This record gives sequence, structure tokens and C-alpha cells, in this order.
Amino acid sequence: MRRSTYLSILGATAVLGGVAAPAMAATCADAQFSQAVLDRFPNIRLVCSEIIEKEGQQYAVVKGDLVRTGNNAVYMKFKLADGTKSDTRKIATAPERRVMIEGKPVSVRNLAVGQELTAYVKVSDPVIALEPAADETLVLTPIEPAAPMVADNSADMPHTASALPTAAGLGALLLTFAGMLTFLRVRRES
Amino acid sequence: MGALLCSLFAIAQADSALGSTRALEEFAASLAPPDQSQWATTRVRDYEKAKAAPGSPVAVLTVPSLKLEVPVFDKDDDLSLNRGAGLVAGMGTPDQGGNVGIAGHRDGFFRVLKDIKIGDLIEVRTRIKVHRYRVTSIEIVDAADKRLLADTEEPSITLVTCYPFYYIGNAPQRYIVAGNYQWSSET
Repeated sequence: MRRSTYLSILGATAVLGGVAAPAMAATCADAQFSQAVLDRFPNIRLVCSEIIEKEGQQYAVVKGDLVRTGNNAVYMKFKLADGTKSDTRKIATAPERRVMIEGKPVSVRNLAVGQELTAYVKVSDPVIALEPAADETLVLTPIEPAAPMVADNSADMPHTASALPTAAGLGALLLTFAGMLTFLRVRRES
Repeated sequence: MGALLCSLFAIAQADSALGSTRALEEFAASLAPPDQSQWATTRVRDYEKAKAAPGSPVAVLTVPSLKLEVPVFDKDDDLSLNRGAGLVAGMGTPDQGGNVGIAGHRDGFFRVLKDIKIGDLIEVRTRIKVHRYRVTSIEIVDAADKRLLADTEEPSITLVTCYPFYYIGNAPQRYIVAGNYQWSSET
């Protein structure tokens, strides 16, 4: 009797305790990133600003500066906690997609270097998505390794010399010459 | 013949002055973009195409220390360079990043570059953002030397004009001003 009462009290306490204790939200420090995420994004904990939950999945929120756009992708450098920036990461995205910039929806084709973007990294899988506009869905793409993005140089030195000053000089010379001839002819006739 | 050539020069000078003023006004007027948050994707695409009509400046280049303000066109052809500066084909653009190449005539808008100094601020205002760069190097290179036009991982700018600044005919060298991007937190 005494033993069953004790067990009942213990069980009730455990149940009540489980109900009453608030569910501890995951933080960047204790989020259970999968090994695949850590392999592809080793400094994820350093760039993570918070963990959010969407449709039953946990995502690490990462913020960074846009370094380059084009070729159906954006390139970002994420901000580390110490104020420095990560290496450059590529996020594939269609140019017509809309993402959030300073709380406003902006299409990817209208993004500009230097703007701050927010991205979500799935805690359980090595995928990443730009923060979508309210009416857009989260489009996850594989986290790509940091890679050099410098394009092959195909630019030629521009022609910055106009022919107009030469033409003007030649014109002035011809006018002077014509003036001199006229002057000499008038002088000879008089 | 002489009068014709001089007239041609005078007409080009007038076109340069009027064309650049008109381009700056046109660009200023286009700076207030409409709210597209409710627009259909196709409508946004059509609007972007119409906005990029040929002959419209894509940006305004400013060097405050030189009091230089010049419209930037998307090409570096003769007409564009007569009315302002032009983006060098095959190089980056201010909004997309990379090494942004901007060319101008040494006997026109870019003659003042002879007085630019390392550390001077260069601003490029596009319809989306004002990009700021700080001059890091000034070099005179052979006209065939394309090294300084190479792409860069970090956003950067390269201003190109002919050298010597006072020269009759095709100048044999190029005057190159390079600048590094100033991130928002660094300006």
C-alpha cells in the first residue's frame, strides 16, 4: 500500500512535471545539426543567429551580405558572431523568386550587392533556402561547398579616345590655312 | 571642309552636354520605383525590360572629391561615351558584383581623373542601391594590357580612360583607377 502510493505520487509528479515544464527551444549551440550539415557547413554554429521551426522542421537562421548575383544563383558571405564574415557560399535560386529584404518582398533579379539577406539552413539535412516573401514557399537547395566564383576574363580594353578632338584640330588647321590663302590673295589683288 | 569638321566637333560637344544633363534628369526621375509587391511575375518582368530601354543610363557615377557626376550607360560605344561613361563589356555590373568596369573619354568627363587620389570615394548609384568604393590604386598601363580588367571575387570597380590625358590621336596607354567595395558597415 505504502509502496503503490509512493509510486502513484512519483508518477503523477512526473506527468505533471512533464506538462508544466516549458518545451526548451533549441539554440544555435545545442541544435542537433546532422553530420552532413556540419560537413558541408562547418561553421554553421558560428553564423547561426537563432533556430526556428517551420512545418515541424528546425532551421538555423543565417544572415549575410550579398556578394554577387547571376547565373540563377546568389553568392553570400555570412556574418560570424565576432563581426567577421564567412567564406562565400552559393545559393541556387530562380531570378523571378521573391525574397525578403528589410521586410519587403524583392525579386531575386532586383537584388544588389551589399544588401543583407536571410537564409535558412535545415538542421537535419544539408539544404539551404533564402527567406521567402510571404506569398512564396521555402525552396530548399543543397548546400554547395564554397567555390571560387571568379569568371574567365573576356573583357577587352575599351576605346576611350574620341576622334573628335583630332577632327576639330584638323578642321581648325584647314580653316587657318584657308584664311591665310584668302588673306594672301586679297593682298596680291590689292 | 575645315568648317565642316569644326561644326561636327561643336555638334558633338553640344550633344555631350545636353545628352548627359538629360540622362542625369532621366535617371533621377526613375529612382522612385513603384511598389511591385502586388504585381504579377510577368508584369514585373515586362517592367524590367521596358526600364532597360536602350539609351537610358543604368547608373550615375560620382566622385565627390573631383565634383564629377556622370551618367553611366550600359555600353562603352562612341555615343554612350560622348554623353557620359559606359560599362565595359564582359566585366561586372554594380548591382551584380564582380569587377565593375567603367570607361570614359580622357578629353571629356574622365579628364578630371588625373587629379584622383588613393583613398578617394567613388559612388555608383543604381536604381536599387548606392555602391561605394574607395580608390586603392592608380596605374598607367599599355593599351593591350588587360590584367586590371580581370574579374574579382570581392566587388570592386575599375575606371578606365586613355593616357596621356593631352594627346592628339589614339593614346597608346590607359589610365586605370581601381577601387575596393565599401560594405555598408564600413562607410
